[in-house]
Formats: sequence, C-alpha cells, structure tokens
Amino acid sequence: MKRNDNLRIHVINVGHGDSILVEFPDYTTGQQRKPRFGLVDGGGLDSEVKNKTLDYVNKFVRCRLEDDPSHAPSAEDFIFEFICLTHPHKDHLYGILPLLNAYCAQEIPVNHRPREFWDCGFRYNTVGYLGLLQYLRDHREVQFIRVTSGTEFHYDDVEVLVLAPSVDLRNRYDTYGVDLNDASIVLRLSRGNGVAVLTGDAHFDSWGKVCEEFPRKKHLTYPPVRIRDEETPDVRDPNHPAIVFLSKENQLNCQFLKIAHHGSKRGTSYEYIEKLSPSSFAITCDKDEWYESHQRSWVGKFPHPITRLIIGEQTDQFEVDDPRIPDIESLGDKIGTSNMNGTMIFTIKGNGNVVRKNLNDERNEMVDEARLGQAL
Amino acid sequence: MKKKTSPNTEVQRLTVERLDKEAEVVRVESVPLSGKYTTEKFTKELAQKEIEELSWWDADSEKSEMYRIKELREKLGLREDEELSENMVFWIIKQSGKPLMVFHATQPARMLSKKLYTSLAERPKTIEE
Repeated sequence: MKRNDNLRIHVINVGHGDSILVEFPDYTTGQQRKPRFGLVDGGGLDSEVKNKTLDYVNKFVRCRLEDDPSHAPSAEDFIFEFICLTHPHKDHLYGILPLLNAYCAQEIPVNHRPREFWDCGFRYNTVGYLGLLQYLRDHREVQFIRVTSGTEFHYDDVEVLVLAPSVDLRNRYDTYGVDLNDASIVLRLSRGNGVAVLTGDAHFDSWGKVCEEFPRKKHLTYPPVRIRDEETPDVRDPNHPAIVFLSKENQLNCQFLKIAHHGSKRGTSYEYIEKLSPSSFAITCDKDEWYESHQRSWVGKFPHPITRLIIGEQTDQFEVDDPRIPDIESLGDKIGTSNMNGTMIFTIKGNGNVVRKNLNDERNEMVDEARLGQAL
Repeated sequence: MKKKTSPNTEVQRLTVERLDKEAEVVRVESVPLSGKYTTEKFTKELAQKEIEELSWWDADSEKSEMYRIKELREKLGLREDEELSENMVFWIIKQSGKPLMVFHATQPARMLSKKLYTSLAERPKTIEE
C-alpha cells in the first residue's frame, strides 16, 4: 500500500459543481496502515458527471491499496470517515446518491461504508434532497449529523473545524430570509501550520458571521509577581493591573482556499480574502462554452471578473497603474481551476507549503487511473 | 354525471431552487407524477388532504428548468402581491401541456421534510430495545 503522511485535497473536475475528496494521513495501528478519507460534496449537475465522483473514489481506493503486490483486500482496508453535503443544491448533491448506493450496498462490509453524513440543516424541499434523507433514514449505519459553527472533529493530528453555518443563520432557516448558499457548511482543515478552507457556496451573510465568530485570538500575559523584592519569574499574577493583551493569532489564516460558489461575484469579497490570506486557490467551474450552451450565461463569466480582480490583488498580480482585470493564466500557478487543470490534487504540508498536481481530465471523461496512481 | 379526468392530464411537482432577482431568472426542479399513481387519485384524494408522499414522484425523471421570473409567475398564476421565493413548492395539474390548476404545496412539503428530519435525529435503537 502507498503511504500518505500528508493532508491532501482532491478537487474533482465535475464541471460546474463541487466534489472534493479529503485525504487524511494514514490511520496507523502498530504495523497496519489504512487510507482514511472523507468526501465534501459530490457534484452531479447533469448525467455526464453524475457518476464521476463514484468513479473517482473507486479508483482512488484501488490506487491506494493495490500498490502492494501482496495486498489482499479485507474489511479493514480503508476508512471512509464522512460525507459532507455543504448545501443541497443540485451541483453539490446529485453525485452523492450513486456513491451512497454503491458504498452502502448490502454486500459492502460495514467498515467500508461512510461513517457519518454531515448536513447543514436547511430543510430543502426538492425531491432529490428529500430522497437522500429517506435513503439515510433507511440506512441508519451512516450517522446523520447537523453540524454548525464551532463543531470540531479530529483525525489524528488533523483538526476539522466547522466555520459555518452559524447558529444564528440556522435559526433563520425557517423563514425565507436565508439564501441556501449562505447555509453552506464551511470547513477549516488544519495540520501543523498547514491550513485549508473549503467554502461550499457561502455568500456574504455567511462570511460576515464567520468573521464575527472567529476573530483574532487575544492572548493574556501576566506580569511576574514580586515577593519581598525578590523576582520570582515562574509565578504570574492574574490580578495584576498591568495585564498585557497580545492580539496576534488569526484563526482564519490559511494557505489553501477553495474559492466559494465557483468564483461567482457573490462568494468572494476582498475583506474576507484578506483575513484568510491564502497563498493557493482552487476554483470549481466549467468552461465558458458550457455556460453559453446551457443558457446560463446570465450568471456571468466564471470565475467572475470581480473574483479575478480580488485574487489578483491578493497575489500581487494586480497593478494600480495598469488596472486591467487579470485573466486566470496571468494569475500564475497559485490558482488552479477545474475548467483548465481538470482534477487537481493539493498536498498541504505540515509546514504550510502547498503542492498542486493536475490530472487534466475533461468534465465528461473519467479520470485516468494510471495518472491518478502516479499523482498519489 | 361524474366528470372524468382527461387521459392527457399530467401532474408536475415544481420546486423553486434558485431565484436570482438581479438577473430576473429562476431555476426550478421539475418532477412528474410517478407512473404508479393516477392523476385522478392524486387530485381527489391526496391533494385535498394537503399531505405529501415522496413515492408519488418519479425522481429519475427530474429535470432543471430555467424561467424568467415574470414568465414563471404567469405560469403559476401568482397575483402581484403574492411572493415567489426559493424553496417554494407547487403542484401543477396540466392538460394538453397547459396548466389547469396550481396548488401551492410548500406547507405539505415542509411537513414531509420535518418528518424525515425528525426520524433522522432519533437516537438509533440498540438491540435490547
């Protein structure tokens, strides 16, 4: 079996839509190692890409396990930790159904089934989403969890922190005031100094709450207590009138950011990008021709020029003296888009470095297994 | 004499998925009545009780449709003072492709989603229970 000691984010090319496989460092017990992963959304906007996530997960598992010629599959081979549906829009939801059908089938060992299903709590009324709830009701081995901001999960040394939706927004779901995109689950995955943020389709309302709920951390430092003029540096006085506040740690700081809402103008604002200050970006969008041929050109270009402008400013590619909106190519290799790079695998190193590998597949073609194997 | 429903009558369930007021367009999920249920049974028994069952609908025949907001409002016969919002559900009974009757079915749909949510929130039973 191939080893993996890093946090890896596989951004699968499903055209317009999100499908992200999160690969944790291997679960190790004694001499045994097991691949460990979760899935954030499943894409599936149309029939061409509906089964792509399932195909990718199957190939990923095979590539990870079959490297060892002496490998004999067993029920303990891998751990499918969770499926996270950021929000139940079709371009995030429909690829999950075939995956659940395949991995919760009766002949599949219980240890291979997804352990948890994370839901944003927005009671959406589409038949597709209600069908998914019904499926989960009939497959109770998959634990259904409504996550909200502040929820934490730990996978060895990887911490997964839910940044959104906030409880305040969730309490307003029952009225029509909250846009479903703002109900998106936003995840912060951290390991050492490496941090990745996966944003779903979160819009401004959601980001406002995230910035409010995760401010810069303030640290207290207590001046030392002096007893009989003798300095005792190990004793600190919490009641000392001169308590010093240091406000240095930015909880939202990250190295990798999956840009919200496929790069639309409503998912990105300069204020929050500045707070997150990522160095590497991924955008999950389709080609211009697809939007034009599917009568979706009304939503504008993806990524939207405003988003490109903000990323250009963040990556120092935008010159005030030459105020042209940068195109994606000019933004350099720090930004990867699924319409140009196909499926992308981002390795988040413990020291904060991010390395990207592109599989260059088209939206409507399955990923080449040999190429995936080389990338892992 | 009892009036029979015409054989070319069909029922469609329509959910407002995405409403973009700026672009003045709306995306809807459109699902037909499952072949197992007749239009007559649907209109006379189920719709009147204002309940909804998921098995009525043919999820495999689901499709997304795009409309101009004005166009959809006309199709649904909404008055000017009636709001059109995301997550609203309508049952449309059509005859020869034209809407004959429109039911505003958000409430029964919400009851169904609440029922499913409640059942999912229940603690799994142990073997002893």
